Amino acid sequence: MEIYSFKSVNFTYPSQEKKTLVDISFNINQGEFVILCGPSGCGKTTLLRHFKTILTPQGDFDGEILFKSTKLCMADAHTQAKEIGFVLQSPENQIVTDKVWHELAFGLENLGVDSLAIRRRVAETASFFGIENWFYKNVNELSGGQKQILNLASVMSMQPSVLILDEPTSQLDPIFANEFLSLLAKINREFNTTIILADHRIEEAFPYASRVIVMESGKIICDGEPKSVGLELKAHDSKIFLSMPTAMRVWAGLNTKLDCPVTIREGSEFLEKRANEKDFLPLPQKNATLNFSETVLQCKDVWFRYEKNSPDILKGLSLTLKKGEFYAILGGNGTGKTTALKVLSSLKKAYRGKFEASGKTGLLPQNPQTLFIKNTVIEDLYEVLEHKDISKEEKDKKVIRIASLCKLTSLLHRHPYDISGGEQQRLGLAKLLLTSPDILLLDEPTKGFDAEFKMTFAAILKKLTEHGVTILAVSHDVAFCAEYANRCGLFFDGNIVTEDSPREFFSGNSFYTTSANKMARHILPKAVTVNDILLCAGGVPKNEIKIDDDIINTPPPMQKGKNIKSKSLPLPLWRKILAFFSALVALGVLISASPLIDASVFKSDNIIIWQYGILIVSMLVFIFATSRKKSQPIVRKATDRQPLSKRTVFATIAVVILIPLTLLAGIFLFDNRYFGIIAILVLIECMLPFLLIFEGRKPKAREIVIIAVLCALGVAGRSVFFMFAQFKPVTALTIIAGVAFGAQTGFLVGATTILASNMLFSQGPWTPWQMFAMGLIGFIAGLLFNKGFLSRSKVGLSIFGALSAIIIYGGIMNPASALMWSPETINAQVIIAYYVSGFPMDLIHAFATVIFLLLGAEPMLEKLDRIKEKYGLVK
Amino acid sequence: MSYESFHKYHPIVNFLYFASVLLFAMALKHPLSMLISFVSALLYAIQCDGKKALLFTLKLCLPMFLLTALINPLFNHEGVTILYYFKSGLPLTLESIVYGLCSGGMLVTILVWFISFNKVFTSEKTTYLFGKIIPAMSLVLNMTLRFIPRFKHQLNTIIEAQRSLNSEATNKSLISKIKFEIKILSIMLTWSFESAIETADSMKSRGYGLKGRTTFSPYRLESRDKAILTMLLLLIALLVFGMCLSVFSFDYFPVISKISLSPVNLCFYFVYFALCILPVLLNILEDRKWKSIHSNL
Repeated sequence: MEIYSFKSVNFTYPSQEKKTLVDISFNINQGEFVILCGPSGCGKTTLLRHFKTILTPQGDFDGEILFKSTKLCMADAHTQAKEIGFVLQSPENQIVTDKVWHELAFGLENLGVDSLAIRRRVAETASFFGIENWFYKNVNELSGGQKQILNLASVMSMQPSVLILDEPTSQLDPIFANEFLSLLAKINREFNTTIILADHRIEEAFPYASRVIVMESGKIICDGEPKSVGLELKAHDSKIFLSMPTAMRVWAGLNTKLDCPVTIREGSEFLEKRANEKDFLPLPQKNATLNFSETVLQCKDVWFRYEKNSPDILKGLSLTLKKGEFYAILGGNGTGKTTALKVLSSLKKAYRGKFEASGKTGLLPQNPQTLFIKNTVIEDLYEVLEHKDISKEEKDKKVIRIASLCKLTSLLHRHPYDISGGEQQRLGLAKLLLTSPDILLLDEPTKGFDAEFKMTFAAILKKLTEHGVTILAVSHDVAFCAEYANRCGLFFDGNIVTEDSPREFFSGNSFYTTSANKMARHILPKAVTVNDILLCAGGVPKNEIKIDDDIINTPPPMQKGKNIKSKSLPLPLWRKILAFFSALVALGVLISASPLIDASVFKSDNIIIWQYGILIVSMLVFIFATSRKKSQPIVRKATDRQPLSKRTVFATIAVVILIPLTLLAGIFLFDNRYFGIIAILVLIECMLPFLLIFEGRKPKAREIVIIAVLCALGVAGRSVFFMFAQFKPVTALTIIAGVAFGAQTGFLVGATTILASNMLFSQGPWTPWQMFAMGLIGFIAGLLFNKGFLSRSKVGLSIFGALSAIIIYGGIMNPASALMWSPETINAQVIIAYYVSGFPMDLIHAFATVIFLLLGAEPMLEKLDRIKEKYGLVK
Repeated sequence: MSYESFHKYHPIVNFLYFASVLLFAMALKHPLSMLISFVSALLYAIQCDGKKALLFTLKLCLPMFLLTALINPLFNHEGVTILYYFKSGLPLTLESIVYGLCSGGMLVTILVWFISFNKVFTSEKTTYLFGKIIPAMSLVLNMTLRFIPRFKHQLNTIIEAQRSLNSEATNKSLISKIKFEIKILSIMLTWSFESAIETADSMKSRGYGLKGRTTFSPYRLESRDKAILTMLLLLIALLVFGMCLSVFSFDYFPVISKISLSPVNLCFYFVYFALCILPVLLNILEDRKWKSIHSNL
């Protein structure tokens, strides 16, 4: 049965002129296993996203897509959610909930399946995928491979008839990747589920496929069985061939009439037949002219563990690196390879053994995104040199040289997150190179690359070694290491077990070796790469990519005009004077009251109360003097403004009646006895409308994600940065959230951050108070800054931050602690006493918030603006 | 650590127990009821957290108790038994000292209750209960909890990456340290939102936003849960009845009332004790049963 049918589909992204999909037509039948391949940026992902309406990107669409012979866009959302399963690239990002069992049930919950049925389906799925043992675990305890299996399982629990996968194995290491692919094959075989898979790991996936579709620059260039694809592509002489399985590449490099082999076994048979036809030449020696003598890094018997009582990770690691060589460390997962890199780059210190490096080491992390700060590639490159004492010209020269070396010149004005994975890796490398390291340490540098990217990357590395840079890479990519490394070492159980030149290394191993070697070992025992085989068999080896030595000398134009802020009118003089004096007063009070400067704790209460008052008043004056009307209010989509639902109206009325009722009951019924309880009740009643309005609005996935991300940022920040008791970014982040996303989001972010963080640290009677106080800060920030009462400037934000820390947070928490501590003797004096004792803490809190907002608010808000655009929240 | 099994009961049972115990601890100001609550809280805390609970009580709660007990007479001058006059001319009264001690005791009791609460009432249970009333908010909380460990890990990765790129940046003054922190957070901000787009896609793709969403949980209300639930409700009702009879009422000002040990009152104190000690009792019973099963083998 025909399940999908694409009829001359064309697609163009809004900001682009070139079509991303050009005249795509094909049919897919139930039960097929289709591999979609092509180089990065050929439109694979865009095509896959057209298989499900809800994931289809915005843009200019033309053509027709049929799903089970009805138009796809006519198929209702429920059917699509159930029938079409989609697994995305990153194992981490797709997981929505925090427990394995909940993740499995998530899709079924959305479909509205009842509890009993969910229980059964979840149980079934868990046992099919072997999840029983980690069913109750937190998802963050799982390995990358387990996470991807969980993603697959939670899609399969919905029993889809089609499974679409967009590079699901690119973030996994080879062993898990193979396991994952064989699971797919099992699903395809046993349930007749149609599978459409886009992947770089073609070598392993090809044997399972019943059909291969190859794309290049938005067009389908060939479509058919794996074998016939080989034939067609050979005629085409396409670059794509670089990423085809080893056997096919060998076959294509030889002029032969034999059948195209696909698997290693077939390749091996093919070579045997070929050997009967024509004698093989002896393997030519690799030109051993490269002579490495100077030692740049040496470590001997290095031992390392993370904590005193944890097991050793490095156990007597010994390694010598020579200047200008490329050394590759291979080995299984969890053997300590990444840890070794951390020790070698001096991020961690070994507790025993000798370690010497002559020259600077630089570590390129596995995920280069951890290095990107700015909004364009070029700004990010300059950022590295920001604090270096060198002239502007020299900086320009350096940046240009490195940018052209890493082939970034055409990408300079793109956003670092908008370029592809391979390009990001090159940008990371470029940033690292700007610190001019002598020894480069690379962690899985080719993860998720396609074949062409690998070649470019290898060429860059080659150029670097020619300039005397030493490279040490940790990798799972055996083919890459066999082709380009000077020496390879096998890492096992905390040290390097064996090391040799790639040819000796791989031909000596029987399991841990390249596909080319597995295929050819019975005839050519020393051949470890496709080129080795081709050289012996009289074929044409592929050339390497060369990087030109000439350097573009004209500096790339910095993009101007975009970042210049529209200048606002100057303030009138009286306002300036007022602002100046009020700032002076506030500063004076801050200094005189600051416990850091003034050690005399025992001041009389009156003075502190005066200080308190003066500080607040002076800041209010300042904020009034400097405030401007905001020029451009944020445009929200009209769909966000929905009419009030019945639930919301009901909630509001209920609350309006409830609060006075509670208070009255407290006073008359209980004679003011249960002060604490009444206060907490009122507090909860105050928070209820926010929650109920949020519920009533039926928030969309993206909105929920935004709030969760902001909350998690606050909590994670709170736990990672321990400087002082009150020196945490929570308040600042809540304010930023309110300003960027509006009052309601501000409230929810503030309150939820506190709730979640107290869940992890410690819950107590203070929780509801803190939630309310923080929520209020976010709410008021959103109200004041979005309705244009205050200007969204650095200063305005910081002043607001200080005020909210003192007036709102301190203003609520101080009487709250009075209530908690001595509930029956509440009087003005007690409350003032608590204010006074809490004042130093409030000051530190305010100070921290101000510093954070002064330094961080602008860049963060700028970043959030981009995010809002990406999430489709702004027009 | 001794045996703890109350957390295996249905979240509603856990919630009802803690909510009632905490509210009664805040509401009942009778010295005897405070003593009952404190003893039960401490016993349960020790069952949940072992020696750590005792240490916590001594280290943190004792000074707090003393502080509260001391502060109260300074601000509170009600009461008739005057012991001393301050320089300001205000009296120090016996009643205010006793009241200070009691309110300090109450605060400590609540803090000790929270030791076991934090152990028993895990985030899963919170999100489960919220899921019934406010599903969208519960999902937000759920996802926040999912993101937190991930973000922490990523923050540390970013810190390491930035250190290896810029080794000078970290060892300077306070301001440069804060600048470094902000830089890290700023990198984190972009990273987290960019990666969360895929999370939102994954949610949409799996049908989030369709009408008639159900909530699933691995909890089942067993018969033992129902039994305990009935018992809890009964005890609470009795206590509320007792409160109406002002069994637990106690005045500190102007004169401290006498503690009455009439049979009726004793009965209600016993009811309160039964409520507070319930999980401790259940744990001991289950522990016994377990041991007897094993000794019979």
